[in-house]
This record gives sequence, structure tokens and C-alpha cells, in this order.
Amino acid sequence: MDATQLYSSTLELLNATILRMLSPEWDAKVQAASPEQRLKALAEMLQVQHARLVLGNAVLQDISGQLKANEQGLLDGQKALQAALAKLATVESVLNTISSLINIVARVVPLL
Amino acid sequence: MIYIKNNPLRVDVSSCLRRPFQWGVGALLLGLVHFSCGCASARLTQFHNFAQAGTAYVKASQVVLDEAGTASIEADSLIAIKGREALATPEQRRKFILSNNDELRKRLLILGEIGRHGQLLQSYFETLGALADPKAPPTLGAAAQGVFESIGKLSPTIKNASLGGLKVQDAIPQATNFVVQSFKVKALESELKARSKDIERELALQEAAFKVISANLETDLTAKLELEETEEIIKPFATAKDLPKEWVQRREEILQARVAVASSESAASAAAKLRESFVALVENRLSETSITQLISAINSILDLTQKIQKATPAGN
Repeated sequence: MDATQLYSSTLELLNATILRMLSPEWDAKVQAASPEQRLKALAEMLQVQHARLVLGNAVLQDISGQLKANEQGLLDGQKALQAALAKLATVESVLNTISSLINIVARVVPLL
Repeated sequence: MIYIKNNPLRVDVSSCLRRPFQWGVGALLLGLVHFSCGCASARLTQFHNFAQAGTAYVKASQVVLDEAGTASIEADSLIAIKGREALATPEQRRKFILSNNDELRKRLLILGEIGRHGQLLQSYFETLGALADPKAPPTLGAAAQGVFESIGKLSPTIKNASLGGLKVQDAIPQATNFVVQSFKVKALESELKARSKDIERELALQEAAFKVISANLETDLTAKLELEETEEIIKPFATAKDLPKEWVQRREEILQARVAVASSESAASAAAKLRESFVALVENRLSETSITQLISAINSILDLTQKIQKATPAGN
């Protein structure tokens, strides 16, 4: 996969993830989870929003090297997150896959 | 304000978003009645009509740019409010909001550049309209060149800009092949021969920019509407003892806006129609149908922005 596709697919997934995390279905799951998981869900939501803003403004030429260097990690992270979102698995497993992908995105662009 | 030449019509776009363009269609079509006579005044009218349509496009697309900026900020603000308690210390909160402010500022700067690019194109079309007049002063050619040079200075920034992961340059459509027709007014003909191919590319850049903006607008608005649906519709319905009296209306507005968001590409479609009409103008085949389609595309932008504004009133 070239850097352009890798960039677009990562960002598309971050967009889809934030929309899912704001959906009534996700909200209902989080409300039913433990207080710790609820806080973790909010923290991950902020991370996803921050990542989509930073990555969305990044100029592809500036980050294409880092994208290629982290290609496998990004692809695996995307695949795992897509699967977790599709079946809207347990809050914990969705948050873990989000966190994994965000950690790899942070190697491409500087995040908080 | 829109001023339709040959018709004493002045309409304030900010106070009446849709009607001016419906009136505008009528006014433009009145002018187009003279198309078939082939005389100099018909040519003049044709260029004036195009300039009017260009003005209408720029005003409508400016509303989309404003909405795109507002949607990004509002979505980010609502997410920040919702997630604020997860940031344990004032330092964490400060870092988060400052960093997101920086990113939003970058986005607003690009939207501003796209708006200025559109306004300069509007000035160029107005200058062309004036150049079509056989009595036009000779300095107008230099004015057109000056406006064109300003447009050219903005283009590289917009081409290289990325918004939400989409690079504007990657969305630019292929160039259209066309031949500049002979015009009685030689200053007009030489201006079109010198710069119409480049102007077609600048219009293609507008089209690309709005394709990219539409995709972002759709995500940001959906994010905002998801949050509003959860907080204002679902939570009160599920848990409140009594529902707020505006609950039914808000539910309708939010659900209607969700449908409207799906047509967020209307500004890109209008930009495409403007480019098609420009080529037709230069080839001296701009028809009543082309202008009607262009105005209809501009009206679609206003439909979209009206629905969005209705669902997301200021301060909501």
C-alpha cells in the first residue's frame, strides 16, 4: 500500500471511530460499563479526536517516510479496530484496539 | 448584496438565503432572452450573466466555508466538553485545548484562502463582464491581469493543502479541451486567449477544494449531530421524568439535518457547473439551460446550508 492510501485509510478509520464513539449505541455501552472504563472511554475519545485533527492537517510529503516505516503496524491496527467496531465488541476490547492504533499513529505524527 | 444588472434588484443574502437566487434565476433568464440575436449587446449580457452567476456562487460557497469552519470547531468543542473529566489535571486540559486550537486554526486558515481564491475569481469574472462592453476602457486588460496574478499567488497554497487527510491537488479534475471563439471586442478576445485555460484550472481548483471540504464537513457535522442526538433526544427520552417542550422539534431538526449532511457535496457540484459554464461562455455557446442548471446547483448549496443552520442554531 502506498503512503497516500495508508494516510487516507488511517484517517478514514479515525473518522469512523470518532463517529462510533459519539453514537447513542456506544454511549449506552459506556454508561453500563464500570466508572474506570467510562473514564478510559472518554480519554480515548479525546485521543481519537486529537489524532484525526493532527493527522488531517499533516502534509503527506512530510510524513510519508514515517507512514511507510509503520505500515504493518498501521494495517494490523486498522484491521483489528475495524473488526472491533463492526461487532461493537465489549467496551474494553474496543478501547484496547483504539489505543493500539493511536500508539502507532503517534509514531507518525506527534500527539499529546 | 447581489446586484443583477439590467434589473433593479438588490437582495441581501445574509437575511434571505434562498429567495435571492430564485429571483436571480428570473433576472438572469430575462437577460438570456437576447441570446439568439447575436448582437454585441447579447454578448455583453452573456458575460454579465456569467459574472452574476459567479458572484452568486462565491456568496453561496462562502456560507459553506463558514459552515465547515464552524462545524469543525463545534464538533471539537462538544467532544472536549464531553471528555473533559478524563483529563485529570489542569495541565492536561490546557495542553489538550491549546493543541486542538492550533490544529483548528490551521484548518480555518486554509478555508480562508479558499474563500479569498473564490472572491478573486468573482472579481475576474466581473472584469470580464466589463471587458465585453465595446466601450470598456483600455486599462481593463491590465486589471484582469492583476486579478489573475493574485489568484495565481493563492493557488499553490490551496493545492498543497490537506484537509482531513485529503489533499486538494489529488481531487483536481482533468483539464477540459476548448477553443476560444472570435469576439468582436478584441480586448475581450485577447484576454480570453491569454488566460481562459488557466482560469479553467483555477475553477477546477475550487471544485477540488470543495470536494475535500465536503468530506470534512460531513464528518464534523455528523459528529456534532451524533452528540446532539444522544444528549438532547435519546438521553432525555430514556431517563427524564418530563421531556423538554422543544423535544419534538429538536428531534425533527436533528434527524432532518442528518439527511441533509449527505448532500454536502453540493458546493463541489456547483463549482463543476461554474467551470462548465465558463468553458461554454468562452466557446460562445453559453445557453439559457446552462445558466439555469448553474443557478439550480447554487440553490442546492443554499438548501444544504439552510438545513444545517436550522438544525444547529447559534449557541446551541
